[in-house]
Amino acid sequence: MNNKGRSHSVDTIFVLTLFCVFAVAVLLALIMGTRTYSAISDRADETYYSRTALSYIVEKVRHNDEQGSVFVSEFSGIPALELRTEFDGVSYSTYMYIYEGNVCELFCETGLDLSADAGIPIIPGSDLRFEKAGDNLLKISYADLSGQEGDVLVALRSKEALG
Amino acid sequence: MKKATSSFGASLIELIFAVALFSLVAAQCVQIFVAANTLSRESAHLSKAVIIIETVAESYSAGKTPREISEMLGAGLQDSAPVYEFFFDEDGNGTLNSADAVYIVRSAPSADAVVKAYDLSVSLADGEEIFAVTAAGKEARS
Repeated sequence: MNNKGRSHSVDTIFVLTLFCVFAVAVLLALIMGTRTYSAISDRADETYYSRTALSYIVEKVRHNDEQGSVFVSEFSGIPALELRTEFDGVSYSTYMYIYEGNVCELFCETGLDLSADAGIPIIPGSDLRFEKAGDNLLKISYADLSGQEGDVLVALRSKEALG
Repeated sequence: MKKATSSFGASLIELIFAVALFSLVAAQCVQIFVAANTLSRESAHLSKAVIIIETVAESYSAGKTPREISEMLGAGLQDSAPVYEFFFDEDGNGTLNSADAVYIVRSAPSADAVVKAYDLSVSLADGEEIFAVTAAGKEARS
């Protein structure tokens, strides 16, 4: 009877241990899954913001690649990129700038006195700078909300495109 | 007493069966996690490589020399003319120290092109090539 009792408690301990091992394994699998998901999500976000913002601005510049149409200027006291186009003899400007944590875009008649909040937010960002890196070379620097910076250079094909 | 022992036996078998099943499923899940992580890392590398190579290609297109490109981007330059290597860190920014380089851009004159062009490729520091493109030089533009 005593032997049976001991055997019974060994059985119980074994089953409980096995259950604990199972529970720990489930927990580890869950932790691994969440970490993997978190890493993938962070990486995707970082890549998405940086690549999308830079690609969007680069394509805008290429779209406006005409003589004397791309300017590194200011809009409402904020460093901005100005892209000028003409429709029916009237000059219009597209401004790209950073305002309240967003890359903003504003299309309006050239010379109109508008405030920075008139622009449409395109994508979140903490910094956006434009710099002439040569005769026809424009440097665009963008930082996402985490401060991760990325630069890209655009060579303008038209003669004297960069005003 | 016999009934209790038999019940324990059944629990044990159930648990062993559950653990075995879980092990099989977990093994598959771990494989999927690792594959997803690898794919995500490769995708991030490719994305950075495209931006880096675009920057270097545009600089060549604007008529910049490798030395000027290196100075402009703050990227270290390995000069083995006519082949050059530029060094970039994990964020895709230029780095002067080749030991910190995660991305290495290799530039060589294109042999096949009719006009002046450069074969550009981005590799990881371990030599694995991520992306390659042929970029036109300034003379090629009209």
